[in-house]
Amino acid sequence: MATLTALFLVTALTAYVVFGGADFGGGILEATLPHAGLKARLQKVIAPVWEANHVWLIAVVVILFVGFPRVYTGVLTRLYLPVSLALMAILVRGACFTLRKYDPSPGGLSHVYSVAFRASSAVAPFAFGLIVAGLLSEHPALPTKLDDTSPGSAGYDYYDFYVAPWWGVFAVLCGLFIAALFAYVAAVFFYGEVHTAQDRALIVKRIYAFLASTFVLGGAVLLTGHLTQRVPLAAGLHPIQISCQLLAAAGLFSLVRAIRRKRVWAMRFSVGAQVLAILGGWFSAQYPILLKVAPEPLTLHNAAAPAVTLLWLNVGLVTVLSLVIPLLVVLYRVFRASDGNPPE
Amino acid sequence: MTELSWARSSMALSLGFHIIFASVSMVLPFFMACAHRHYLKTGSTTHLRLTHAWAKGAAVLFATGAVSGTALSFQLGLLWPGFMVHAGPIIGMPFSLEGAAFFLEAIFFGLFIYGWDRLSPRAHFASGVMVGVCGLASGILVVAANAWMNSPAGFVWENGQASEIQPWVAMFNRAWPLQAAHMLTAAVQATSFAAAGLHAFGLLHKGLKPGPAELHRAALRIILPFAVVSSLCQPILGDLSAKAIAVRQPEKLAAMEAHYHTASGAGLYVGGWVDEQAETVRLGVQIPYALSFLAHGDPSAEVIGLDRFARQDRPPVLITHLAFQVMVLLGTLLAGVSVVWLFARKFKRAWLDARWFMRLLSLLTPAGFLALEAGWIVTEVGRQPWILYHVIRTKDAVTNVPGQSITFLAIGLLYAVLFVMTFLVLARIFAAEQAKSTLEAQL
Repeated sequence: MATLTALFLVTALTAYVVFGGADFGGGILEATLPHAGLKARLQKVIAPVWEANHVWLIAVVVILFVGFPRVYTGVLTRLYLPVSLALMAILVRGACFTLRKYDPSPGGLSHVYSVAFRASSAVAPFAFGLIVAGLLSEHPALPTKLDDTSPGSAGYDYYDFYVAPWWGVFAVLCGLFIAALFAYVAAVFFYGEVHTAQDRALIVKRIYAFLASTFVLGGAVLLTGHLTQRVPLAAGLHPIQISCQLLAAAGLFSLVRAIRRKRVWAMRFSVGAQVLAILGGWFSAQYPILLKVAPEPLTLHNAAAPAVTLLWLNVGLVTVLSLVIPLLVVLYRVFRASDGNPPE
Repeated sequence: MTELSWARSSMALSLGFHIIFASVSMVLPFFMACAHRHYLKTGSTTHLRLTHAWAKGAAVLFATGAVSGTALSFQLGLLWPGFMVHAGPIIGMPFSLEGAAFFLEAIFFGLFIYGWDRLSPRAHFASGVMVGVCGLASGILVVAANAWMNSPAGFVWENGQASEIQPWVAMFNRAWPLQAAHMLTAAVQATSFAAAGLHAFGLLHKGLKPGPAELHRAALRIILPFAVVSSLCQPILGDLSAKAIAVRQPEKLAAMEAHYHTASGAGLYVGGWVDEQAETVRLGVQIPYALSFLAHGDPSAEVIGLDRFARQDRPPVLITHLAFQVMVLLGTLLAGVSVVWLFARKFKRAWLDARWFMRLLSLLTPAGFLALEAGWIVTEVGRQPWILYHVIRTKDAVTNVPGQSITFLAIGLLYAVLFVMTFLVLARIFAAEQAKSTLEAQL
């Protein structure tokens, strides 16, 4: 049961990285687009789907909260600051996007909306990177009583408890890596939504630029992770890890091919495969540990909710997904219709 | 202030902020659907404009509600890990279902807003209705979780751990049906009076062109029946809620009524100021026997007072009592206006278009929301010092992470800016839609 719930967790997280990631990346990509037409086009593409894309995050939270409550509270306690940062960025981003779209006479504010939207689109994935770094790090045992952690008492060290695990070169690199990855995913998705050869060439340039930065930052993350003993590179020889690496390589290869042949969906599936490979590598490196707290790490097994809860959670998730997925397909299909097409 | 007080303030602020946007996104879609249906049947351009105008308002409010709701799903854990770690496996069911309902709501909303020329009229209309249906469902489900905090069920509590968990029993706890009905009615009431107030305000404008005038009148014809029906039901639901609380959470009722001393034939305080030190109400008017009658349906019944509870188990009385009085006062006012509207509809139709009635409605714009916020203050503050009634204390649930005052200030600043910006843009949409309807009427 716990494994099945974990599978749903992974699915929801993957969906969030692909759809929500493309969405955040859209904000970063927007900052690099050279002319207003493309920016407007990007805004138009994101508008109908961004809210639905973000519900995957709520799915992740709810599954953690119901299925692995100690992990949910553990993460939110240990990683209080980066989670708060991500939340504020999500709030600012959603609000600015909507206000920019609906403000009938924005005047000077339109610039403010745009800057805030783009900045928060970059801050949120950066904060996610800090959170991932925090998940890969060891956390010291917390004193259990509130009084023991009050400033000034023995054994209290705010930095050690609440900052050190998600801060440092490794964590910052993780943040930059995820921001670059999201921008890369967004650029690939956006390619299929522009139609002139000129614009497509502009987007391809950005795909390669973001891909290169993702690649370099990814390498830096692995290296610093190895040096700080957060990512054991030796584990990379595990069969699952090797298959993830192969999947990533295959995704890269097919992406380049698809760009050459201008195959929109092949590009999207390739980038999806790459995201899956990255997440797969992360999860298998961490399995079955969810949060490395001293003295005993929280795992899929020791942190799972009672069987009856997991049973109903899984039943609920199956029902919900069988309802949501067809509707999401309808939503995306309705809005895939390009500008030139007559309305159905 | 202690870390606990800061954390509670952060939570109150976030919930108080979110509830406004959540309520509107439950109710406004139904107004929208009514206008849309009228347009589809008659082809009235006024109703088409009205549908667009409301849809734009709903889009802005819905987005703010969506992001603040996402933030809340984290904040519960950021602020109250000592509660959430136990609550998840027990009351997670309605949370998961609420998430699902919200997911569907977001999808249907996307389809409605952007589907004007991409969906068949029937599918498009249906998606608009579904936004409201899913919104209502998510509201009902999330109230189940709050009701469980007032009326814990579905587990056995021993040595600080829950066992024998029954998720469905927890979800179908005894407080749920009434609390959900009370809240939904409040959402309808608050949203419809707020919307009616804005349109009445529009009508008061000197030199109003025929286009916008017709737009506002059409809006009022749709909204006011919602406002009236909900406002007339609400006192009944409120009375039933108070009766249920009298049995289930007597200290909450006692705090609401500032009823310190257990007594038979207890009187009801109207107005006045609670002196928590002296345990009395100053300058209040007391209606004899009324509390016993309202709480138990019998003027001589015994009403349990705060004296039956140790001091550390009592909720704050002043805030609870004040918030309760504000809620009841505003609820009575809205019910009174509703009666006037019904009377005018039957006997004095000229009143319905009179400037004084429009002035009255526009004055009442915030009344429903103030009552709704006051009601949530009653239920939340009145449950203190417990986060899970008689099981977990709020002070044992709060996070270990220091620096809660900074979190509060950051959230406060962010929400203040968002609030101002959102309503600024709504005002601009209002003006722009008026201008468009002027143009349309000239064509």
